[in-house]
Amino acid sequence: MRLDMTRRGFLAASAGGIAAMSNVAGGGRIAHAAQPLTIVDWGPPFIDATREAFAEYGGSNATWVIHDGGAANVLAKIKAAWPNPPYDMIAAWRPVFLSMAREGWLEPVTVEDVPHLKDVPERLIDKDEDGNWVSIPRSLTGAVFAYRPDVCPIEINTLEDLFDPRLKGQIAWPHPLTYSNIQLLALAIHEGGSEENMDPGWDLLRKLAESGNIGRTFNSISEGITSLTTGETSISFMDGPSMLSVSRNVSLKFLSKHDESLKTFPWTEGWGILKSSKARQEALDFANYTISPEVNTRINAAFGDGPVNTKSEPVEGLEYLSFNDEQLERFAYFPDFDLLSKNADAASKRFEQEIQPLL
Amino acid sequence: MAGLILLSPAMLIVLLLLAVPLGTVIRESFLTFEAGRIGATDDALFTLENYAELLHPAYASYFLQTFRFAIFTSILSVAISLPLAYIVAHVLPNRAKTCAIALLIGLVFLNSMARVYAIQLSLGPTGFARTISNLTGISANSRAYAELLVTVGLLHFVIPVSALVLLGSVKNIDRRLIEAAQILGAPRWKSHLSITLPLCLPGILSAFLVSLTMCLGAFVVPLILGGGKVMFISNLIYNRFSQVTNYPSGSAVAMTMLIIALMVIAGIFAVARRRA
Repeated sequence: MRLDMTRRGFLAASAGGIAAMSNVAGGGRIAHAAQPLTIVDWGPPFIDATREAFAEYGGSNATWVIHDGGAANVLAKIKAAWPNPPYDMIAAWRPVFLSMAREGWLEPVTVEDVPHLKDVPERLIDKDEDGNWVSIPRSLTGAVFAYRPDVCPIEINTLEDLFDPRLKGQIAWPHPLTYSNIQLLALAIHEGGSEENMDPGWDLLRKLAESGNIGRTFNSISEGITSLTTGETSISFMDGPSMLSVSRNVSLKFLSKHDESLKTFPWTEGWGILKSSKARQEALDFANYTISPEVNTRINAAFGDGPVNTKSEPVEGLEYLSFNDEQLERFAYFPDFDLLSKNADAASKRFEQEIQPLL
Repeated sequence: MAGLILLSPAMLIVLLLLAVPLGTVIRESFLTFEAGRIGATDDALFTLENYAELLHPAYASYFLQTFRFAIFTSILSVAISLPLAYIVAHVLPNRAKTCAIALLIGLVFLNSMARVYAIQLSLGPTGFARTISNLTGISANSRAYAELLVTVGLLHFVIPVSALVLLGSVKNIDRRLIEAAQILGAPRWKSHLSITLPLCLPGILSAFLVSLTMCLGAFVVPLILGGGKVMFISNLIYNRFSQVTNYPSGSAVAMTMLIIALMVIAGIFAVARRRA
């Protein structure tokens, strides 16, 4: 009989043995997460808040991995290691979950597995092609235009203001691979386009590039944060938590409910549990804990995002993400991330061929 | 036979760690990519489309840009490193020489991310960007400034390595030849031009090629200091592999770059051999 022992298997066996001994010594108390969990999350403040939640949850055995840049970067690592990737649960967002679902990597989840999902609006839960739920949302966030009124030469009120000649080099524009190119969708929608027809957006972006107003394009969000915070640029389009981190250091004006041309794009972030995970139940239990009403408010306050549990208290300071029905209709847009993520390759190439040479 | 046996462990490592991955990349470059998937699927068809895409003029500009930076930086690096190596080898007293060599080696091993961010902080908007901008008339947000930063960043990496490579050649020069030339009336600059430089040519070529290779493969420097305006082929490959997960296209770009780089290096060797 051949004994297959991997490093994870050894750790699991050791943890199990220690847990069993603790039970005997401690009169039968059972620690959460006897199976070691490997959890992938974004860097601070996300991973800090999640670790704190894990400790409060009673978890004692977890390996923490920080996303290497965007969440999409984990896909190549999973592919290389499949069917034995070294991860159990991964924090990501819709485009990444859709890619993972297409590869058949995500464990379907139900309300039985994650009871608090009953209090999460179904439209926030990602589904695979068969309609199975494949993610456990934990945060409601979005990307928004914002600018620094102390540095920006003019006041920004509409999308057309971005073309003002006084804004030379003032815009930090995300690369199409960042945010699944919804920044281009904002331009396309303004010109009557959509996810199916992004050509109007490309034409407008070409004009923006030719104007010389784009001071930097960024692939990694930390570059965008640094650019805006240092004053290298004064206008950008980034996710809420990133903009909030900038606003903690410098004066920043959010343009989420300002003008219909400056759309805000809400989305959810959450957990995906890999089918290969040997700690499935532990992962589901911890994910369930993070979306319980009180914990969901607490971790999202740390993230700078909104809670997804309808029973959670709202987080202070997230007015930019708070819409009534009329505001939602006018200022927000829920993009088809499935289509956008499938077009990522084409968008990247088109940017390389048509826009990058103009910068 | 004995030679073959002695070579076999090294050849096995080269085969496993170089030839096999290279073969995988070559094969991947001829496969079709399905949008939304990760890499080529198991039943992907063979295609030349990944290479045909690179015929777009924009990609020629990225290749030209990468080689332009690499060649210019390498020439500059050698021009700066040669006097530096000469001073370390022949001018500095022994203790200072040891410290200088230790400093050069230390620079090579210093964390690359820390160095790049140090340059960005020093020459970016929180540093001397405005001062440099006022002195040169180049806007700190312009492409020209981004190119300047990338050049400075690349030089920061290649000068220590070039200097160490040149140190060997320069140390082997018999100083008596230079002294004899000067005794016979040649000015200092002419004695170095006619003696030091020709004798150092093999070292200069090595330093140039090492710098060229490092610059062609530079990834972090254009990514962080380029401001999104300067894109090297390495950044293109990174985008393909990590974010878009279009491994076939990334493999095609990588193979094209490898072939062009090998041709350039072979060309340099051929010219050097003919001159020798």
